[in-house]
Amino acid sequence: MFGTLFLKECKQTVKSLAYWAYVACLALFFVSQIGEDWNLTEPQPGREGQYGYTYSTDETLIMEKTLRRLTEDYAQNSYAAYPLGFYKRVILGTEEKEKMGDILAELTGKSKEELEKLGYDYINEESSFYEEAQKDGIEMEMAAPPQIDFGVSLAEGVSFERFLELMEEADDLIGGGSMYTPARVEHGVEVPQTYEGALEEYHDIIEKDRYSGAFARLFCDYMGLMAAILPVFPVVARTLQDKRSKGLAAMYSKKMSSAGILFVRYLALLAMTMLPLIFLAVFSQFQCDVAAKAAGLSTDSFAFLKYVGGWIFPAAAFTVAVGIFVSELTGSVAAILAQGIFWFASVFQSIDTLVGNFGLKFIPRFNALGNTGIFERELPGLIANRLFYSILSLAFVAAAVFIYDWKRKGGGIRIGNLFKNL
Amino acid sequence: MEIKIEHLDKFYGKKQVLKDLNLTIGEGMYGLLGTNGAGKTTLMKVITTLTKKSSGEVSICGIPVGRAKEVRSMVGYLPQDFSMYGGMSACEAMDYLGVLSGLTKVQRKERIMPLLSRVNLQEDAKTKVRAMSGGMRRRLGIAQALLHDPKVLIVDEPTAGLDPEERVRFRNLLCEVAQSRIVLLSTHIVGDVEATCEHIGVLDKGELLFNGTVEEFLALAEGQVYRAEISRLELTKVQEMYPVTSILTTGGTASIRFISEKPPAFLAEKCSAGVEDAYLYLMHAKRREF
Ligand SMILES: Nc1ncnc2c1ncn2[C@@H]1O[C@H](COP(=O)(O)OP(=O)(O)OP(=O)(O)O)[C@@H](O)[C@H]1O
Ligand SMILES: [Mg+2]
Repeated sequence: MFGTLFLKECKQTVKSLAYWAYVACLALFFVSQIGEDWNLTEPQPGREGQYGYTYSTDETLIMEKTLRRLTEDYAQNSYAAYPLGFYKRVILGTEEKEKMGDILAELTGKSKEELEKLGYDYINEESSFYEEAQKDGIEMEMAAPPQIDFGVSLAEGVSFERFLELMEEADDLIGGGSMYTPARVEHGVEVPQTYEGALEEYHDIIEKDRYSGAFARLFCDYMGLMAAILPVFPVVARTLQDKRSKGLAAMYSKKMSSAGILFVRYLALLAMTMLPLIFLAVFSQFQCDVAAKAAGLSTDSFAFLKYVGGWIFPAAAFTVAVGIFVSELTGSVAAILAQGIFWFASVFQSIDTLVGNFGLKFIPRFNALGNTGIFERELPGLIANRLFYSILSLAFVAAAVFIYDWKRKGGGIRIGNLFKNL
Repeated sequence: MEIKIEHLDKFYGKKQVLKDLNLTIGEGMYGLLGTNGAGKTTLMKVITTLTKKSSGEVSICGIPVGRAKEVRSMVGYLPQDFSMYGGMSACEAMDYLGVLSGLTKVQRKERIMPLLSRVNLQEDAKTKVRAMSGGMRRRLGIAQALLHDPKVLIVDEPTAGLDPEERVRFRNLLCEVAQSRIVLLSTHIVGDVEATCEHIGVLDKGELLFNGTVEEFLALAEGQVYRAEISRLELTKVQEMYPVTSILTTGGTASIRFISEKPPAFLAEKCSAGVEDAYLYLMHAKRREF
């Protein structure tokens, strides 16, 4: 019974225009972003500066770089924060600025007067910088901001633990979601890759990732972006079909349980959402296999499916669940808006740690081919993250079932009226 | 086998739509008459579990409507404004609803085509719902209500929008169906009730004005229905004085049927009451009470 309904639901989805728009968008994104380069080249020595970037978790390095950044921000009294994922410029009031000064004073061993002077110096240097620029006939907006070395360094005897504590305080002062959250700081700092490092990465890709694993990760990084928003379109289209059909009363009066109806629909929508993604994954795997074979290397034949299953599937599962929930709740296209906002916020939230530092971000990024070591280290975090969203998806479906059943028994939804005209 | 309704109240917000309804509906056809907004659809929705009662008891074959799943498996429902996903054909729509009713593949296969033939849609089995006329959709709705062979059939204005031929067909179908079932139908078309139902209920503003057999219903107006030939010019005057149930004008004269408790002042012939006369009599009597 559920099996038959599942197939009927799949068919119903396939018949909608929104579904084919979804497939087309995925295909377009795949072609434009992932392209067709599936080759891996062994790094050659003597090309320093051309090996890309990696992340260092060297504690001293982290502390130095973070301190430099904090000093700069302090001098300008302007901090970047992403409290709900969206960029926000934070300017501290006198009291908070004072407290931030205390933190910096402890870190650098400099007095607050000295630190205060940094601020003036910065403003002076900045204005002279722009004067120079103006003399050279460069528009103010066009000039790159000045790079000013404040010459501060870490005071003796500040431990990494203490450093993280202070960063947490700094983050609190800024209001959360800043560049100084301990998780972000601990994650490491970007440093140029060396030849030795690049070579090691290369071997990691071949041995640990068995070639295709690294490409599959990049695939998930890109396609995960799309899987986190696009499925909402066919889902909303499907849910609104109900309302438009005028068949609801007849369907409501049949005996199948609301949980059965909605859960089967959820699974069908999810399956149809995953289908083109799986197809693209299999296609990519094939390309990878061909490229590896040409280079005389072996691959993991299931790498793409494994990564897509573990990484993209929960994203799609969550998006479909939220789509069903919000459309059932509002009877409108509000789900697109809701998921759209959440998606934007998530994209911004991940934007300055494009490699790892997954936390509970809805869109975990790992925008690097290689860096296998970092990925291995952070894999448990990613698994926890994906499990979290999978469980949340089920919660949303359960909530949608509740609403469906409520409406089925003649219950009204007031807040639906708010979104009626969307 | 019966639908039992005791002290049923239904409020939409502050508005009371059903007022202390008491009614028992047994096997056979029961016709529910009532003006627009009388509460017919609301009553049917309560019985089919699609809306919650505010207070009172409603049970179907001994099962209270609170046990929604059991009630739903016993009841077939044709909503007042039935349609289905536009992209589905008649056959697909039936199949989909059949699955929701928990029918097996074999059952669906056995039942769908014969049912579509019974409502004269066999040639339109492949027609998409969006390409159907209103009457065709109505017939599809009747077929889907019968799909899981329910003990209780509840049809909300089933004949609205059907052409005369289909209407007769449909009445016959309902009579067949009602042999071993409870059929509750609502309608504005008094003729439907006259032709098919043994029992009649009249609902007005949420109150049950009448509940009984067709004979009892006719007896209400018996002896008070008159036929007369009057001049066309007198028509408005007569209409002000009596409830007129039919008018047929030919040339300068009009032959009318009207209801009057006392013999009228002009020449008129007594005739036997029909359901329509009784209905109008009831409505008229009710209105006069206020
Ligand atoms: N969902 C609702 N919310 C508020 N009021 C409602 C709702 N549904 C119906 N009503 C009101 O309840 C009353 C009864 O409506 P109902 O649809 O039951 O009448 P009906 O007898 O079926 O009329 P019709 O012959 O026009 O179909 C009407 O006054 C209507 O305005
Ligand atoms: Mg109605």
